[in-house]
Amino acid sequence: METALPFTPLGLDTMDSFRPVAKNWQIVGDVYVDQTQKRTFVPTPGTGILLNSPEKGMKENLFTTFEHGDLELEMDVMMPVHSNSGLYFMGRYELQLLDSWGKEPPQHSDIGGIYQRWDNTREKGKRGFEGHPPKVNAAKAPGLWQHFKVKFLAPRFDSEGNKIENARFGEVWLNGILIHENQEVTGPTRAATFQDEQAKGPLMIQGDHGPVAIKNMAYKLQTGQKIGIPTLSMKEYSNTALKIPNLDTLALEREIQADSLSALMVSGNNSQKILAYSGTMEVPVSGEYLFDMMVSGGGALLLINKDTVADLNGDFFPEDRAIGRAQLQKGQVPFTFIYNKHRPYRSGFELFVEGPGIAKYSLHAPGSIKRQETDENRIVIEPNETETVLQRGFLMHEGQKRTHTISVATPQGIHYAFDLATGTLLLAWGGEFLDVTKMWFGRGGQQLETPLGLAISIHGDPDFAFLENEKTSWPDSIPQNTRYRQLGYELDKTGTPEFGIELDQTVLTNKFVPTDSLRRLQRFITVDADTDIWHKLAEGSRIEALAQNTYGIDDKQYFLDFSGNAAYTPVIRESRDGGEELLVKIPKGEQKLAYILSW
Amino acid sequence: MKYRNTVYSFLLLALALATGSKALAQAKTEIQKKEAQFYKIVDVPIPEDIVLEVGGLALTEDNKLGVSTRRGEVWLLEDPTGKSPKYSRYAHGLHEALGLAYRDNGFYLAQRGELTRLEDRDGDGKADRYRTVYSWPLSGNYHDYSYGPKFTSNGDMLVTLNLGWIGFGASLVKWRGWLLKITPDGEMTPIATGLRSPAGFGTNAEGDIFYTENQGDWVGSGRMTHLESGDFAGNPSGLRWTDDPKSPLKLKPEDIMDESGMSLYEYAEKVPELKAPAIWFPHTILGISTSDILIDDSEGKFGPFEGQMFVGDQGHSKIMRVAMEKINGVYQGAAFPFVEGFSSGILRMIWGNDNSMFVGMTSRGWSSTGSENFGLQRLVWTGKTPFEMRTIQAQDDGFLLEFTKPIDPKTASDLASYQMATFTYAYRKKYGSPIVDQQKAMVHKAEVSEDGMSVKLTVHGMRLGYIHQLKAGGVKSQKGESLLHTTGYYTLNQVPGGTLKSPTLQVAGGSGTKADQPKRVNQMPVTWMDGPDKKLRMGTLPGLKFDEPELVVERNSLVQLTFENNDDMLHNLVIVQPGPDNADEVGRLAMELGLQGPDLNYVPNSDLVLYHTGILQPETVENLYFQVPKRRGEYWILCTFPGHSTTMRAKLIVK
Repeated sequence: METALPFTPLGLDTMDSFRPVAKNWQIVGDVYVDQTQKRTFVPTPGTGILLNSPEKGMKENLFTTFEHGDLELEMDVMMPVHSNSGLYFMGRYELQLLDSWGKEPPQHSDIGGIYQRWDNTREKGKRGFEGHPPKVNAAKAPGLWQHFKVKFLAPRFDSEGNKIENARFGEVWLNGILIHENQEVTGPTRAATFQDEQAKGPLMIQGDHGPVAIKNMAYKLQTGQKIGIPTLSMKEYSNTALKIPNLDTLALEREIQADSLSALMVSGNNSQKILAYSGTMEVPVSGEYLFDMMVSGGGALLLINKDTVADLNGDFFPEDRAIGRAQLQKGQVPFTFIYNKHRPYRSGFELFVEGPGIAKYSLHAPGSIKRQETDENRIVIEPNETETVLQRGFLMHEGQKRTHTISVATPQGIHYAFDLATGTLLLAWGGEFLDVTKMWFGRGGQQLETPLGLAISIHGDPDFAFLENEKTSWPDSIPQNTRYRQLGYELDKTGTPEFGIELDQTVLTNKFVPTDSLRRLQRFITVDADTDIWHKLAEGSRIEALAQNTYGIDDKQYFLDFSGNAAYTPVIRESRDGGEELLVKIPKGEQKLAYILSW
Repeated sequence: MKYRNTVYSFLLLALALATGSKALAQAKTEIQKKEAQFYKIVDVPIPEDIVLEVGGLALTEDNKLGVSTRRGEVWLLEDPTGKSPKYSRYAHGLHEALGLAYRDNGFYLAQRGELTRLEDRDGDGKADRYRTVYSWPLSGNYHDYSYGPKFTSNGDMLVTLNLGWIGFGASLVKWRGWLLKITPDGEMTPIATGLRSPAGFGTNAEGDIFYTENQGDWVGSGRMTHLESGDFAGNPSGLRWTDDPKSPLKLKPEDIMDESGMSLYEYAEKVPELKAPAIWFPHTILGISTSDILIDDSEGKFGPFEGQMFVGDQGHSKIMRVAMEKINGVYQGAAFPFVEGFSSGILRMIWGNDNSMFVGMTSRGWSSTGSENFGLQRLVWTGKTPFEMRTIQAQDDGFLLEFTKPIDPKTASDLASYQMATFTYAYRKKYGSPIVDQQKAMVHKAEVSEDGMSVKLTVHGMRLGYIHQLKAGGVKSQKGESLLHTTGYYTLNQVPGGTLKSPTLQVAGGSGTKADQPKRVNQMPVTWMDGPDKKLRMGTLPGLKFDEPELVVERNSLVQLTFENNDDMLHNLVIVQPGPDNADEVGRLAMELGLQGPDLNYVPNSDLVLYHTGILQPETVENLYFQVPKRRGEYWILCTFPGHSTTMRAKLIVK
């Protein structure tokens, strides 16, 4: 379910989305990075990817035809080895693009950094100022697609044109990691095209420093407007029914004028009530609006113009969000919001809205929902520089709670999670290790351990299976007539575990070792089977065989380096879900294989 | 392993700075002072950076104490009975290890999802092999705790699997709510079900298996049940899996009525698989959440209770004592208070090699009267023998009381020295049970034995299937000592010979008659013509707390106070005179009400009490009407339900 209105895609079939520019910018169909060459792409003709290949005398910067103020932007970026570029919001405020794989600690000049400003009048050595490094280095390896998600807020000016608020990076996410939050910038970056500050400007991509490839660019131009609620009243009833009854059949306990929507207005503690709000919305602009509703346990219903827009009428939990869309006309629109708190021990709801030019924000008052885990009682296990750290617990993987998992932190800072029940590698990540608050704070209602840092998610199916032939589809769970038996694990002198599992009397071992401090994890497998056994290496929307027996997995989300296993030949084939999967057949007898994941 | 946890380090700091107030908070009660003359509680120091939430204890061959923790570590303590034992970490990363056993140069422990053997093959003091002996499925529910193992005499292991909690106890995946037997090679046999929260279990000298249970759904009060293959101990959730060919019984959950109106003993007469408990521990009197079972095999080196069982309690931080006997092939016996005042919630007990008892504790998520988050202590016999009822033994017409010291024939043969009552609990789906069907019983004759060590009581009003409360408060020892603990609770399932010869007592009244309590006014007095001057509310928070730290009122004003019990436990609200000691005193008096407690809403008849509510079921509300005292001051608001009053406090500020 989409929890937001769609972004406007920036067409990358032609260069029409951009102001006229020199030929260093072009549209291509695919790109591939040769890891042995610096600043080098190998492009394939086609459409969908914007590529910059600067040459001497042809290295112009690129500007969008649209101009923006507040902006939400998403895009995928690929950096070749050692390349450098930048994203200039309003042509002025730069988010740096660089091949910064493995750089610790990251600087303002690394990918995701807000590049410094410059003042020649300052003392030497202090001329560069206000550079903001990313909170962590979330850079992926060169040649992989890296995902940016940015919420940018333009500077504000009064009617006389005086700046009254600085520009801000509200949020910057790189590869799923929040690297800036509410970061103010006082003026244009050193190499900005415009040195003044304005309410609007074009997005600029730097073209003069090095090659860069971009795809899936999409944006929302925001106006800063909000929906008003000029009139609002609230009626409270006692109710224990899961479905909201006809309110006329309930005894009205109180009716008040309200100035906000909040679960805190429920009277009594742990009581069972209905709050029925009705009022009008002042819709600032006609268009499609999205409402995102959640209850912490209980029910809720949103009606606008008497149409049901969001429906949680029953017994629902935070994971059951209701998303509704409505075409609203500018002007006053009547609405009703009913919160059915039929669960005594659960309290709280959220109601967010997003509209044309209106960034998503909460219609509910702060405090309408309480969060149990706070920063204060957070418990985090940190990696140890001298020994491997293990922790078993429950772990979420692709929306599924895995109960027999172990998370492992290596001294090199590369970590992974393994499902002991099926011998399956689930996640691999780098940086911080594990948040165990949900397991060790109080009773730990969810009992979850949460990986910290930039993770890649592996397919999660059983990793090994006996297949009838190479057309047999991969089992998504353990067939009833097949039995996995956990054998546990043994630690070597460095504390590195080797996991054992038995599949129909066939013993398999798995061991994972980082190759260096970069995000590279090598997997060692031994097997001694009576018949051929298959191993599922990877799955994704697209799997590409690249040079040196390396595979780009899931449209170059991570690499799988299979070189060094000359005896085995992986096959790419269609997966159950219509994507692609990478399998290898391991012949019977004592066998070993090893491969490296990098990201 | 390094943890980052601001609250935790803050707590440590606060404790370090405030040792004075900590000592005050944990000041010994009168009974604790008396008990300490015979059994001393001694701290085993824990280094500040170790979170020793004890899940299991086991002693190695070379006298190291292994401690497994809820955070999944196993620590080894060298010289564990010494002044400063040396800690080293043997294993880590485990999944909430709630048990530990040592055998063949390695440790066995139950993690949430498996039984594991740990070995240190290279002898560097750290486990390097974590071998899965047997694994079982998990639902992902936080309440799926797994306990054990305990070894049987032939070298097999026993584990018990807790039910999940989804508003009630539920067996969400196979074998939750069961006792399993697992061989060292990983062959599993399900033994018995009906278990709810089976944290404590073990075998006696004959190899018979017992487990302790916590009050909850289908469990009226804490209890100990003897489990044999095919037994059903009472909570029907685990019966879901009786279709499995390995199940030793066929009974299904729907075979059990939610509300039969019967006690478990009565229901067991209709359902042969259902096993009546050998011992009941009356709720709030002998603990609130029973845990480990430890048998005294010290041959007298731990005092006069050789062969008896000690049973820990998590919520009340205390240890009870059980004198079991087997009559007509059925186990039953008496439970007594033993020692209280431990530092945290007791989960595990084992013997040290000096015949002292190691007591391992945790209270995270479930508060305990011992206020520490976790702890490790020892209970050491001082060598002095307490004057106690050593055993109570059933006869077909009464009980034989055996004492630890020669008794004074005069007081021991005086019928006025004894008081008896019988009662039981309802067997039902609903959480817990009130005391039901309470009756007085009468001691008709008391004959002291020739050796002066026991007395035979002839009793009228004994009832099979009931708990017999026997108070022998008047009995003195030959030297004039009073009993350290005056009361025992005997669960009577059988009598020798099979025929009960105790005459029935026709008793009018008994329980159910709620006492008249004038300080509890639930209707607005008609004299309040203009209604209350102020309407206030007070609610509760999990972890024994009121949800407001204070209420402020004008003196002499008329107040309607609405007390909302939002918790999942019983609570009352009692307003008590100002003064630092008065809250403690009222809490103590409430504790002493014993069996009378429920009828009196756990509110003692004391001038210190000004106003109070009844005892409120979870999720109920009561309005209390009162006039604020004229004297300004900070009055106490307490919950006096046993065990709650030390933490569950707020202020009533009269301006």
